[in-house]
Amino acid sequence: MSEENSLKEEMKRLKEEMTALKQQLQNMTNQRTQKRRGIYIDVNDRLAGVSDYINEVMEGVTEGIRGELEKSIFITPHTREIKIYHRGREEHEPPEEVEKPDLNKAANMMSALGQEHRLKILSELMTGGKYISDLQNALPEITASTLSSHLDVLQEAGLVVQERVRGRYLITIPGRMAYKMSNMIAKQRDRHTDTDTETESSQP
Amino acid sequence: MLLQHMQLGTQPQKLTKNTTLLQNNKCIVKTAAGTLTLPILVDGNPSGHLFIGKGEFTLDAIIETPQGAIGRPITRDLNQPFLMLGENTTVTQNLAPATIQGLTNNGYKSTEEFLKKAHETLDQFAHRRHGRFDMESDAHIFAFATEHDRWDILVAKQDKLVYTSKNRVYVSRDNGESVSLGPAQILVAKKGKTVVTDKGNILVDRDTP
Repeated sequence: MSEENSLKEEMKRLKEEMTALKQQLQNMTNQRTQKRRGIYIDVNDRLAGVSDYINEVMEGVTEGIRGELEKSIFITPHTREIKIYHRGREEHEPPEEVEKPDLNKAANMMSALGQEHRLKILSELMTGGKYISDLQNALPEITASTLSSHLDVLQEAGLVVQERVRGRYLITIPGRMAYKMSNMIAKQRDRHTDTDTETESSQP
Repeated sequence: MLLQHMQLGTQPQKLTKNTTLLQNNKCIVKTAAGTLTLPILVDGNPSGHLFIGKGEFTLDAIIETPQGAIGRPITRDLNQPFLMLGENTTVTQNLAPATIQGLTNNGYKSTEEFLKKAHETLDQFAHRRHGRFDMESDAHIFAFATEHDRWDILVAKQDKLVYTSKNRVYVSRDNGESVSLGPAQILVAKKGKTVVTDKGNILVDRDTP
């Protein structure tokens, strides 16, 4: 009888061991599946810091690649402007000095923009070159002498150029950029003014 | 026609009126009344004029791109001698024999002095160049002497033109195709596409108006 009991005990213990082994096997299978799907790091164990370290390294590598790319070729998507730099230049020549903006010139251009009629003239010229008679027809609220004076200011600022032979007025590249910029600033101002008003009204 | 075959007439003449020698959509060449001139003969046939006096040359070296206009008008006073090859009936209608007073007004004391200057000018232009030119009836070639013994050349036929100077080349065709080469800028506009290189930047655009 005692032998029978001991055998039963033994059977029970073996069953428990088998269940434990099965559980262990299941855990190992799960771990292997997770590893196959991606990087598996148990943040609760001692390797928790590795995740941050890898992230830092990856950021550094990405920054380096981006820097190298920018050094070789820089593309501004909106203006479709491509700047090309010679990679070996810094090894042989001193680096070029950063060009300081000519604030006086910038102020003159901004001053030329600071008049509604002049912005209307630029708006008309955005669609193509115009004779002064076309501008007079399109902007009847501006007298002929004032229109001529405004065009002189815009030419002086380099925003408009006049053909000497045909007499047409053309908007220049800086003129087109300046007109777009003024519109963008006006839109941004409206957007932020609206946001401020909403914020103020929502406060108790 | 060979450039070396060009000869000058012997009778100085002067323009009685302000005269437009060339005008198209892009450029104007004008001379002032009182400007002295001699006919240029090739194989004995009148083929143009040499002018010494006052005038003005204007070229709109401007190219329109979708991003805006690039370039500027070029204007220069024609105080130095210049040549025009090609027919121009307006010039022949406005000519009269040059008087001593007319020569004096332009800084020459005698006909001989004026002729000497005229021949020196033609020699400088033609005898340093070896080549030939075939002129069509509505085409003109202008050669403007500059201060540094160089010549700015303008070739025009209707609205097509080519202009070369010391630091600029400008080509324009009547269908809107243009090329402009300056000291810091190269611009090509052709078939609705524009390429501009300007101080290290390259701008490529399509749909040129």
